[in-house]
Amino acid sequence: MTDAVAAGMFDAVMEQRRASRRQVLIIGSIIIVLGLWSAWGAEFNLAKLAMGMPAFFDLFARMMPPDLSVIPGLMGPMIETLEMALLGTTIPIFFALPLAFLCAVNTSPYPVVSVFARLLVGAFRTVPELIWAMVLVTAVGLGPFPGVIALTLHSIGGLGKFYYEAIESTDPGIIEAMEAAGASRFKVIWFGIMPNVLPVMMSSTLFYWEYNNRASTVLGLVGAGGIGLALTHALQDFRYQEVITCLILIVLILVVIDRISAFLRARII
Amino acid sequence: MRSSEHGLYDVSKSNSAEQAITEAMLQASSPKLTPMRMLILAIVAAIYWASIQGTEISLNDIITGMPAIFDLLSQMFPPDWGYLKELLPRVIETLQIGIIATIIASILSLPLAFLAAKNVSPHPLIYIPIRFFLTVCRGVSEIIWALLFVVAVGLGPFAGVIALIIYCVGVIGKLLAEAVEAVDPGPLEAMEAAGASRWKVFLYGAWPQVLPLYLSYCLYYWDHNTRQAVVLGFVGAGGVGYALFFNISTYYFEKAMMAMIVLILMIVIIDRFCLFLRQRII
Repeated sequence: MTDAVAAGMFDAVMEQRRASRRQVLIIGSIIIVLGLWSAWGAEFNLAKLAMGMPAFFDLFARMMPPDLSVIPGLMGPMIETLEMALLGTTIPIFFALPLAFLCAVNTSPYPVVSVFARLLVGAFRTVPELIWAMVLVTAVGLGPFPGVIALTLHSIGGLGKFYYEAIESTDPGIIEAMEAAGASRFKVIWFGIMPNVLPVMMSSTLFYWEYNNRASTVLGLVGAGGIGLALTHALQDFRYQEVITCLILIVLILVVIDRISAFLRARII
Repeated sequence: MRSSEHGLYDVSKSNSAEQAITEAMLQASSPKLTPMRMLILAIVAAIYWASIQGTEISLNDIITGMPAIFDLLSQMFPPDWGYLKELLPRVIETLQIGIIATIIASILSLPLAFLAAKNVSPHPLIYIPIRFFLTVCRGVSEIIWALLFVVAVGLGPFAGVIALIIYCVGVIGKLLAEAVEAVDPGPLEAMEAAGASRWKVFLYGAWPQVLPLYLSYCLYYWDHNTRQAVVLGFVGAGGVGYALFFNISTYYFEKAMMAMIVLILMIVIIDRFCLFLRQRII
């Protein structure tokens, strides 16, 4: 009797394994077909990779040794990059926070408002900051200022989404208890929701600060200032030893930023 | 006081009590100003002031720039719908760049991640250099990698694919290595105690714990790579981004607007699709 039960269980397990294996097989073959189609479309093949390798090593050889004498001259653009990232993360907080409370279904005054606010946040997030920067540079001219606005616009979308998701995940019990005790809407938000979501919000803001630092190193490509501009100029003039110095500086500064961010995050949570 | 006349509670009293509570809560939630905190505050304020000076931010510029922005916007309308036909192959190219880069990066990052995880890596001499390699890979953004590869292998989607692969290997490798390090050691020890070989411990002990995370990272980075593939076009690495860049720099704003609309639609659809897939996996 127990043997029969055990055999049945064994069969069931094996059947399940077979089913999951079939599923993996189907998904795997879909991925392989997609991959081959994409490799063909993106002109990616191993022969080309092998042919490109010498060129890449040649480029790398021409970058050596790094030209360290340009470092003092790069400090200005580097600081500009950091400044763009800092402001491009701080300014959007003031826009993203109120927007997030309008987006979140549990704090939004009307469902219609929530839908429209979400659309707005989504639109800001969808356009990459480099495209914002390019459009703004065309409109208001070169310099770090359009870079700050570009980062701000993109971050309003990104932070707004993080914020409203945090607000929506607040324990509804807290809100109900405060409302039952007669607290006004503002008090519910300030004393009920904010203390709960503040650590998450700070952490996602830090994440965006890291992200913006990375992004602001390339904003220079479209003329929005910072170290990216210095890098582009060096590349265009074939000063590869200067290029590698820029790259090393960028990697170093981003590693430092990651560390600072990790330190701050550990203190918050 | 009508309510007290009726023998109910005293409204004015309860109001003042509520006020006191509010004040107490406010006081409790606002931190004390110690000298150390004041110093930090001053430093932060100085950094912000320097940043505002350094980036030449001014409200004036925004206001004077407004007409130019609206002028640009008005030139973008109506979008050139006829351009859509030319754009479609570009969109497909962008999608293909994203797909092939993600597939190759997810395959390459797998062994690297296990070699870079402290608890399964065979030797510190292996995991330290690999960690360093992963850090360099994700140290600069895809666009800069693409810029270098465009110089090395010429214009076209190929440079974009390699750039995405390098960056993506760096990120997925690191995230996966962290996931491997966070694996619950209990099952692994139990299997070792039962005499399972190293390979079996890995395959049946560690791998099932890491798999869902791995899949969700791959999906996330597929989404990310498609977005980035758009931007890579700016440096000549093909796709719909190149069309956008070309049209803006040659002042064909109606075509640029069309490219932007297509692009936004594409990103939204991929975002939704990824969300759907992620919910099915996890």
